[in-house]
This record gives sequence, structure tokens and C-alpha cells, in this order.
Amino acid sequence: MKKIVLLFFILVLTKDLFPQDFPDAKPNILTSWAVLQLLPSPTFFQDANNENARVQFGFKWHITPLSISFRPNKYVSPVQSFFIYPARRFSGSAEIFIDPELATSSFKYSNISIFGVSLGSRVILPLTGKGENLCFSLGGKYTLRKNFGNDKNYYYGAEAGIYFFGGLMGFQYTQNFNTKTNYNINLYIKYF
Amino acid sequence: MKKILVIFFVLFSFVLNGCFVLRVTINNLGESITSSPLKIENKITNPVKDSVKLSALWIGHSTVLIQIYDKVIITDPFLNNRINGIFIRKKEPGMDFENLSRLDLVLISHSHMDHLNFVSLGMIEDKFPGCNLIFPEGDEKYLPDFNLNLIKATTRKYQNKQYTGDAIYVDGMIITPVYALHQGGRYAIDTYAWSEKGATGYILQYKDVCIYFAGDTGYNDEAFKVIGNDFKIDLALIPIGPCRTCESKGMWFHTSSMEALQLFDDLNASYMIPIHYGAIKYFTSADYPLYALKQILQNPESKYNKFADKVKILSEGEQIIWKDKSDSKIEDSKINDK
Repeated sequence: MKKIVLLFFILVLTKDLFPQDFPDAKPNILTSWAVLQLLPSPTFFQDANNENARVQFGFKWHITPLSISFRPNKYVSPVQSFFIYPARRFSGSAEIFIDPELATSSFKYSNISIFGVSLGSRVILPLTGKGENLCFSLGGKYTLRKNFGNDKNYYYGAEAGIYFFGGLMGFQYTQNFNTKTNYNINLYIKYF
Repeated sequence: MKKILVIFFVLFSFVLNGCFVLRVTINNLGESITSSPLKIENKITNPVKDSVKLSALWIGHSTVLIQIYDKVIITDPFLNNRINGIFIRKKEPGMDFENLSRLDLVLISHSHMDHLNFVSLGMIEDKFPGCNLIFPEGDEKYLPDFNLNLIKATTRKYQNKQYTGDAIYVDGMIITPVYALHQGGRYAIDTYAWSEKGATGYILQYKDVCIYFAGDTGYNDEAFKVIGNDFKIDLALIPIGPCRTCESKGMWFHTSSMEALQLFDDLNASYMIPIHYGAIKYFTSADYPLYALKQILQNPESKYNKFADKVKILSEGEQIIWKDKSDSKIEDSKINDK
């Protein structure tokens, strides 16, 4: 079954990737886009208690339900949802995001769940090349994560990021207002 | 954990395997860190001239500064040293932008990074705010807003071999989008997997002069004859490469040096300037398409050697000028203004 799923992903991703003639029919963009959203962003989480602390490896995914561009050209809408064209994002925009997070092993010091979801908003502003070469973001978020005992451990955080290559890649730093996982750092990867 | 990593690795491998963009990336990334562009000596300091019927200054890659009488046009401006802030060009631009005194129109052929350069457009909006910029339909999704007069050319049927688009009238110039066998998109997968539309060639007419700017295109044995029948072209700017075997057939979306000459033959144009080489190393040397072109033109057995006088090969920063003559036929009077 796993092999079939893997083969399916490979076929979807490579469909019409290197056509020998100009393709007449458009491939299923939304399917391949959705598969690309599964590519995770490698993340380091802090795992701490009063006595010990360590860095825990994991992954993060980025979902953008709403993006509003500050500088769209006159032919396009400033509002985008989920499928985000980079130019409208990196040239200046505000967005609402949902970031599922998954640590690869248990938080043995902080005793929090390996799975969490962050909800938040950020503003992205251009630095060079209208933001395509370099842009940065500032934002805030609220993370929903449980303790091992299944009781809630929800916390706020402040986030800063710097992005390059059309805003498709970058680095993000989050300062959490929570002593169990005070910060996390991730490589940001998101294709559209 | 290992399984996740394996799946992740396999997916990446398949996405990237054989990818044209990846090869160009690998070819250029190391040099982008360690080297700087070759200096161009003796750049022209007054690119806009008086009493000129037609001039063309090759700035490098697909960037040509065209002057038709009093109008100044630039094609696919790539005026800085890096693409996307990362990849460095092999030779610096052949014109210092501060020496440009006038600009009436910017033509963008498609949204690939070596043709739609945001840093260069930023330079243009700072110096010539409100300047006209024409781009093909589809590219609006890849364009941030600029303090320029953005004009979308309707090119919905640009893959139709009989296609001639709706003419756009700008300051007395007539710009007509024409067939191009190329893709839109910008970030690899949208170009190669999603087949985003948004590429065009242009016919530019002003007074009695007609210019063809091919942008990026592959060769088709029917489409360019249609353009040649519809327009009496004085000067054609045609890409040579990138190509692995430039002496023969090229890729479907890029003309080889040989195909560029066949395209020129189909157009029945008066003169050709080869473009789209020299700045980026695609396969071997950045100038390989030019060597191949020269070989074909000099080969006594080649059917293209008849074009030796019509193909004007410029080096970066070189300008060709046709003075205003009483007769309507253009005639080159000066090759190098240095």
C-alpha cells in the first residue's frame, strides 16, 4: 500500500514535467500543488523543563487560508486563498496562516505532545528586488498543543522570518511565551 | 522517521531529476559565489542619438535598446548583475543605465527570471516613472505593481500557428503580439509541470520601421512564415540557444543557432541580431551558440551562408545604427560606435 501511495505521488509530481512537445492540455495543477504542500519545513523545537533543556527536531507545514497583497498590479486581485502566487506575497502582504507541527520524537523534558497547530498572522515586507530576492516577515501566533496528560498547553508566540528565492524558501524564528518550548527555528519551504 | 526521510528524498529526486532549471542552477551556482561578471570596456555613454532612423544596442542576453527615430524601446531588461539576487551573469550589462536619457517603452516577452527582472524594472520605474511596459497575458500573476504603465497584451491563442494578436497603440507605436513557442511561469514547476501560459513575440512598428522581437521561442516550420507574410520586417531580434547541439535541432522551447537562421529565413527580414546567449552558462560555454552560428554562416556548404552579411553579430555594449535615408530601405552605416 505504501509503495502504491509513493508511486502515486511520484507520478503526480512528474506528470508532464519534461514534455517533448508543447503540452496541449494543462496538467492538474491543484493536485500537484496539494502534493507539494506536503513537503515539510524542517524545524528545531526547544524541549525544556526547570532543570534540563535540549533541541528537538521535527517538521512544520504551512497553510495560508488568506493573503492580502499591498501591491497587486491592476490586473489581479489583492486577495488570495491557499494557492498564493509569490509576487503578491513577497512584494508586501498580510496573511493568516495555519502551521501544523510535528516533532519526530517525544518532548521528554517538557512532556508536551509531539503534535501542535499554530494559528496566526504575519506581515511580509520586501527588502530587495521587490521582495523576490529578499523579504522579511513579522507576526504573532497562538499554538494549540496538549500535554502528555491530555490537558491543554496553549501559548502565544512572536515570529520573525526572512525569505529569498521568491519567498519560496526562508528561515523563521519563533519566540514562544511558554517555558516548556521557549523557541523554535525552521527552514521555511512553501511552493505557492 | 527513516521512511519519512526516504519518501521525502525520493519525491525531491524525481521532481529535480532531468530538470532544465536544476542543471542551469548547478552550472551557475558555484561561479555565482566565487566570481564576478567580466567587465565590458568602452561602454557607449550616449546610447540615444539624434537623427537616427534605427539603432540597436545589445546590452546582453535578450536586452536590446532600440531607437526608432525619436522613440526608445528596451526589450526584456536585465540591467543588473544577478538573476533573482543569486545567479551571476558572465558579462556585465553592456550599458550603464545612468547614461540612458530617454525610454518610451519596455517589452517583456515572458516571466522567466532572465527576462522579467524585478531589480531592472525597479531601476526603470525610479528613473522613468510611468513608462509604458507591455507584457503577455498570464504574466500579470507574476508581476508586482510598479510605478509604470502596465499594459497586458492579449495572447490567449499565442500557440496557434496562424496567430497574430490584437495590436496595441502606444505613443504612435504599434505593438502586435505574435506567435512564440515557449512557456510562462517563473519558479520551475509552474513552468515545466503546470505549463503556465504567458509568452509572446512582438512586432513593433513605428513610422516606416518594423522590428521583430522573438523573446524566447522554439522553432516551428509554419508559424514564422505567417509572420513573414504579414509583416515586412526590417530587423529581427532572434534568440540562439540555449542548445546542446547548436549546429542542428534545438529544444522544443528554444531555437538552436541553426534553427534561428531558419527562422530568419522564414521571416524574410532584412537584418538579424542574434540574442539570448553570453550571459548565462546553460550547458557548456555561454558563448557556444555564437560559435556555432559563426561556423554555420562561414561554412561554404551551408544553405545559411547567404545570410552572412545580414546577420549582425554584436558584442555586449555594441550599437548598430542605420541613419535616416531618403529611401525607405534601411541601410547600416555604422556598426560600432565606440
